[in-house]
Amino acid sequence: MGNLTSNIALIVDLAAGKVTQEEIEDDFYAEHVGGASANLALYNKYIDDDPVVFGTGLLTGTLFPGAASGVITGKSPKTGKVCHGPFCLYGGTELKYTGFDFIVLKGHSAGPVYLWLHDQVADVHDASGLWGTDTWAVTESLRKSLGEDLIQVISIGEAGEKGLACADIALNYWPIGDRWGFGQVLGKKNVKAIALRGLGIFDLARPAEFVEYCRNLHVKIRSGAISQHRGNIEFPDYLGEGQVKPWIEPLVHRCKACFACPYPCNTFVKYREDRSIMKETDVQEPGFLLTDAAAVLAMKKAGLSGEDTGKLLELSSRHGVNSLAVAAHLQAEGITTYSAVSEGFSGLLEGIGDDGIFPWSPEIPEACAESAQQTFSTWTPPKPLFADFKAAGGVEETAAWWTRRNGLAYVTGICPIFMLMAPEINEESLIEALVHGSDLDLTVQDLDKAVAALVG
Amino acid sequence: MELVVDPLKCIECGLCELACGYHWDDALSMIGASVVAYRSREKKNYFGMLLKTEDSLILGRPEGIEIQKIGVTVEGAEADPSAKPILLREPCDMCEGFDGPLCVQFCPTQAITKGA
Amino acid sequence: MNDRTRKTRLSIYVGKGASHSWTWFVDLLERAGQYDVRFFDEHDVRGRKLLDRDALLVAGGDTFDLAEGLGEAGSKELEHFIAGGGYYAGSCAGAYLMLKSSKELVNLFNHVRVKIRNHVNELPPAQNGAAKSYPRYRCADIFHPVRDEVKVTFTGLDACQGPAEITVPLFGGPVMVPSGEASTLATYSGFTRKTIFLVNEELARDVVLTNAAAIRKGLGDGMIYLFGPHFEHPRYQAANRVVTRIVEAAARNGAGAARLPDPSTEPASSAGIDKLLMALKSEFSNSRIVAIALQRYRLSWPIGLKTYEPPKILHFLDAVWRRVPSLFEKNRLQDCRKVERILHRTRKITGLLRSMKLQVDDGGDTLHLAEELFPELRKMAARFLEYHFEGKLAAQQADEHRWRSPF
Repeated sequence: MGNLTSNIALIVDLAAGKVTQEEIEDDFYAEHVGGASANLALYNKYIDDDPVVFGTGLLTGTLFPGAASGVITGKSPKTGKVCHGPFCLYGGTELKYTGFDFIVLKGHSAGPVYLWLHDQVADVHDASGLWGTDTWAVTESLRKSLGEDLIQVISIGEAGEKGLACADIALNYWPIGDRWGFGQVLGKKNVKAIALRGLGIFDLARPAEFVEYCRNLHVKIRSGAISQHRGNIEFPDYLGEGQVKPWIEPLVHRCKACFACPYPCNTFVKYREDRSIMKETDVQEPGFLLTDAAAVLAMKKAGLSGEDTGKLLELSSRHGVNSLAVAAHLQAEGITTYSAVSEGFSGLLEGIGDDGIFPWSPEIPEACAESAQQTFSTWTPPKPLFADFKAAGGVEETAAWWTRRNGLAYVTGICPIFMLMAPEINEESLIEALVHGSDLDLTVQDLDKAVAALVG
Repeated sequence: MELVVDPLKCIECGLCELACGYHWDDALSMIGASVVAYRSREKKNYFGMLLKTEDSLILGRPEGIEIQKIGVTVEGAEADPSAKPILLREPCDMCEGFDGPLCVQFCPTQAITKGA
Repeated sequence: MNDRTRKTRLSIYVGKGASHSWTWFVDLLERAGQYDVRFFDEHDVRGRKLLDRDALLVAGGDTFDLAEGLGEAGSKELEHFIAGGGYYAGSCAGAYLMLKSSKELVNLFNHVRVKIRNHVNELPPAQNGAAKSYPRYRCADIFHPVRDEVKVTFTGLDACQGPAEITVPLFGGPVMVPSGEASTLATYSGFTRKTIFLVNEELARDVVLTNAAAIRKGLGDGMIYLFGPHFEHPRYQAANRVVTRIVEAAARNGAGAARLPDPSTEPASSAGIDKLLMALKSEFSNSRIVAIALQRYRLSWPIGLKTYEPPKILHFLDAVWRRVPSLFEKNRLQDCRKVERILHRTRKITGLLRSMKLQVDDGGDTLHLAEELFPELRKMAARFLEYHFEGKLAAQQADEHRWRSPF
């Protein structure tokens, strides 16, 4: 095991039901740095096997601010191009600590399977019993049968199983930044879920320097632009998209962060229990964790109430369907209540298109949307959040800035949303941390090269 | 001096766990941390913090702070004097050898602080 | 191999009455390069398996259960083993067992007629008025004045050369009264800031200090070493060296060659054993993951006269898990049958742990599962560690052979 890495990629041959571990040399990290660019290199290596790659950055799961992100790379059924989507909360970190930097799923399984990754062991199990269950049930089932509630479960719901273009991947109960139909990709591969539990350990090349550097960066960031804000429900308001916060706030229970992030972005809303209750009660499913500000905005724009928004986002996540596409469908059909669709939601799935890639207002630079359609998920809002990056200006400048920030995040394993609110994180700080942590001879030019590999 | 936890301020970022794990292992790992962010009731969004000290487990939950004496299983009883320690998760030593407890330094919300 | 360099043929008691602290002996022996180690339960001791061993190490636990498990036949076997040149080293309960007692069953083992100073007719008041200094054993007249760290001073016997005074941990072990019955190796000589007083300090000083912390007594051609504190505790390396020297002395005292791996060992195809070992690693990991999850619950199981808690599960699994990489070393043992047996037992443990977790989440009782689990854990850990040491021993012997061979 190297510094900041396990130096291992897991190659899963789904057709054969076999796994192999491929050693990743330091040269590979020197060339690709990690994250999405490393994913892309592995994707290209196994391109003949129709792969999809899950990977982490060198900084994922470390003390670096916002170091939560894993990245999925594959060909999007929506665009026909190779795209990347982040997964944060504890998903990226858990993957890294399983002892695999990357997972390459190649080929297609004859029957439903799930993967169980733990302690550098990968088991492929039959998932016939899970097929047909929703993402919440899969998460519960795997956590119960494997005996640990902290297992992170990447899964697909009914939409993915049916191979619909609107199918998303879920992480545990919640949506991730999948805008590319990766749910459909997994569904076609017959992969119902990937369960992760990471109890690994990572060395640092210069431990004291790395920790001290991260600590100082945290101190700077937490007293900076983010200090007056809380929750992702502030994003639309800050971006001038309307008053989302006052609209949803009466349901807000509390906000929590993804791993290693000082900003508590994820906002839990309660609609089956008084939102002010902090103590544990018998209500098993009191509400929903809002992980996607754009989805909340889209539901509001479709005319739903705050409570119905929570319920519909829950329903969408259970079925593994993109909530932006659901919102677009509701808007098109003039449906403004949860009760109008909750009964026959499964029947509705076939009619939901693959709209919703770009939810923000038309005045948000179109070039940014263009760029997003090529590579990165629009889970990341299109402008700086709370902070002045002294870069945003015209349409092209903003798009270039957005693309650059996302590129750096996707390559290193930092949450791309956090990258939009922390100007303290830049090429130099990333390189300093990477060099202290990994001892690789990385430079800003290497980062440039890795990002360029993604966006051309 | 001991650490004080305020679970209502905790945002579950896990930085305390990783910083503490680093203190014990000189590497990035969470398995040996003396402090743990409680995340097991994810669907309920329930939360809390666990801190192991020399002789107690401090459970910080929304319901309040509970202190359990290690080795004591019956309310009001005392520890078995012949109980042998389990040496897997070290009790907090306030980061001996560091400039103050690392969990306190990394916590973004002051959910864990140095007591008086 | 001559007697001076021969490694000791060791055994560690893991049977009825043993707590988890026997794994501390395992760590110590491995650090000392002593790999010829067998793990015996009460049936093995009674079944004469000690006869090809130089020493038996008995750590902490429940003295009464130890006595009950071994019984009269076990006592006779021990006596026969020691008289024939074997070494017995016991700490804590392993020491109490051999000391003079009038209690039924324990009195079968009165091989060292030394008085226990913390045995009294009338119990003194405990610190803070609570009854915490008294264990919940059948023996109500043993009390524990202090616990955790104490200082001991050596009295200069050969086996214990080193610094004059060291610190050692005391978890309920005996305070012994020096007498002509046995030689005193070390006496309790002071307390540290980590010492926890369970009665008032004056009384504690009176009872503990200047009395014996470690003694030895010859029996026939063999020797009995008894330690109040846990000299084998992994955090106390100076104390560990004392045990190491005793272990080395046992080899010089005993006779015969070091044990070779079981001749029934069947060579396996590399692919076959690799697959099995990966399955074993996976299963250890599965068990460990649930054990870690159970640590977040406030659980305890009264089993026998001891209380078991979730960290103890992890203790056994961790003793195994830390040694998993050795399974994959280049010159590893390739005994499919042994690995299969360990795997089978580990699968059972994972199943029990997962059932336990489900039950806990449903608010159900888990005592019956715990009662089944702990003996399985102990047996699995013992079998795995024995396999691990066999591999180490084989590699060590192959190395020695290479050094001696001119070609």
